[in-house]
Amino acid sequence: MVKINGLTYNYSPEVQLKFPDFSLSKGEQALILGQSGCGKTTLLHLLSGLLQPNSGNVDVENENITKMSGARLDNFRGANIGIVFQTPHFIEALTVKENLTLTQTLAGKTRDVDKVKTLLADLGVESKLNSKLNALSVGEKQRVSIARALVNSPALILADEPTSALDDKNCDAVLKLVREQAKKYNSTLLIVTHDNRLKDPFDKRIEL
Amino acid sequence: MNILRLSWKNIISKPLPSILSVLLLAVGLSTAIILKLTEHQLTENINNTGKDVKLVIGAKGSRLQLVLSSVFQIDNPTGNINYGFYTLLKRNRMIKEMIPVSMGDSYKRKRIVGTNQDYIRLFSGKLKEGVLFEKPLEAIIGIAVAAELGLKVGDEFVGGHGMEEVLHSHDEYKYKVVGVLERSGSVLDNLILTPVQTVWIMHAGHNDDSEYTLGAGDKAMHAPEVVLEDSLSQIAEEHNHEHHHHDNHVEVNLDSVLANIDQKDREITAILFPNLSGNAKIGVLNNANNQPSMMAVDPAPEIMLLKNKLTPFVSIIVAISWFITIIAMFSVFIGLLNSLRGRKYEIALMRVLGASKSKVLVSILFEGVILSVLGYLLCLVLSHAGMELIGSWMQNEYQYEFTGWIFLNSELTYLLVAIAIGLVSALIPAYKAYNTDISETLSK
Repeated sequence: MVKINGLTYNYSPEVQLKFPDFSLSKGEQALILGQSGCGKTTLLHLLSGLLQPNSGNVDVENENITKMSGARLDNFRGANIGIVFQTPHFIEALTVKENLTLTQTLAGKTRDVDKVKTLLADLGVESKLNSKLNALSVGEKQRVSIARALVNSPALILADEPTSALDDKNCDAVLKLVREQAKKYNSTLLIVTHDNRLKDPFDKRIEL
Repeated sequence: MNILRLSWKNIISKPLPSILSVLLLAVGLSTAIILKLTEHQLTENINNTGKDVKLVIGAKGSRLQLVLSSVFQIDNPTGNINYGFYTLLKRNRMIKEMIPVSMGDSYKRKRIVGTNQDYIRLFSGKLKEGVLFEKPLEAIIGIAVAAELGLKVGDEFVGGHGMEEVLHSHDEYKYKVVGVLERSGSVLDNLILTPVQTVWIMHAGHNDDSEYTLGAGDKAMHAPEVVLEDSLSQIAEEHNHEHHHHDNHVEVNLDSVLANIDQKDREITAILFPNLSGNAKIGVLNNANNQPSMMAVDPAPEIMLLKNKLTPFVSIIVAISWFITIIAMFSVFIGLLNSLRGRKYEIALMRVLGASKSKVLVSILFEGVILSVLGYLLCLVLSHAGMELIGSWMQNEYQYEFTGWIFLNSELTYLLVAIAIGLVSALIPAYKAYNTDISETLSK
């Protein structure tokens, strides 16, 4: 379902990153561990097609995304990959609901407000449906960004240090939620982190 | 949530810069549209009013002034000529039509023109209500006069001497409204028309001692008074005396009053000649120009001269409107660029969520276009309301009803201009957004 092999990325002729091969089956949850600067975010960007590797392949849902480009890649990413960022960012001019429905329409899916409401309820932020993002706390924002990553029921969810900006209490809650929700929609989950607080057992642990 | 709505939400989330851009654009475009509206209506007025007058005869003076005063009812008359000359020309078989006009009186700033029924036909005037005047003291009013002064058929009013300010009122006789004209888009709309004889009756006795003299300004009817430069009090006293004198004869029938008016006191301001051409025109020209106190003027070249004199002013206004519009363009440009600087991450986010580069490009272009269309819509409101406002004070100046409630096809062209401005000013910001490096932006 997700498979990488022989993946390399050159920042410059001197700095070359080489990533270990791995593959994840559908619904599997994995943790990628590594210290800052070892290329965690780069790997995530390669996995989501935001960066093109210098060599190697990335297969998502049996499609080699390194061979895709332009609008087709953007579209594929929107429909099949949900990303949770370290610091949650949104379209500030829109409400929580509008951000999530925009995510649906940008991925080419139909607008489904019920699904948005269900997700927000599952994540405990249903009361924020019509709030502007700047009225939310960091913890609430991260929950909404999980909702955004899930709203199109993607095959793959990538989470880039999703807990590093959160306190211990929120860290546990957010991690639990993202794992529960990924399971609920049978999405493959890949969490990249250097956060030592993530002690829970994962199907796979990949060290960079 | 589609792209167009997203653009809209982005605009209203930053209201102040958006309002500034919209306002600048609206002011720039409405200046241009007001100019168009004025130009259109002026041209229409000039065409409707001036096209059928081929020659004007009036008292010697400024040629342009004679045309403006007797054809367009704008300026003051150059003076008076004797009605005898009119009756003399009337015998000439080569002249098919000639219309006397006699100005100098007004009612509540609306000019009263003594003339004949041909004057109404000249401007294709049609009766809306009532009948045409037949007898002295009967009056036909233009649609704007009826609307503004609330006059209707059967109403009576007292006219006064003077065109701008009434120097004294002719309260011994009352005008009676017998007809109201339909809107003609010509000078008729703003005039009170009455037979020339009315004017003589109104002024009978006022200048009975004076020799025929050229007057000037709005005191044309009372040229001798102007020339003599009597002190105002003296004039007032004299008039009081006369009024008193007339008061004793109010019941006198008009025919006998008219019969008592001396030939030399039967004056008119000008004679208009429609449908005059060829030898007839040359004949009348020569005849009039040989008179010591008269001149004949062909209105067409005078109007052309006037138009040419106005051209530089029009060009300046056009330049100003473009200047403001270009500033508006920069405002949209800088506004978008500023707003995008803060939204770089959002653009990258849109791409992550599945938006293609071109979709991002289009969303920014939309922002420019929405701003410019808003500017255009506001400009329509501003320009037409502004025109209505300007029209209300130009009306008394130009004896023509300027209105803000007409729409020209060329205004639609300005929608295209506005959209083009929006697109052009959004082009660079949109291209920058198009080329956003998502990975780099997200890594920051």
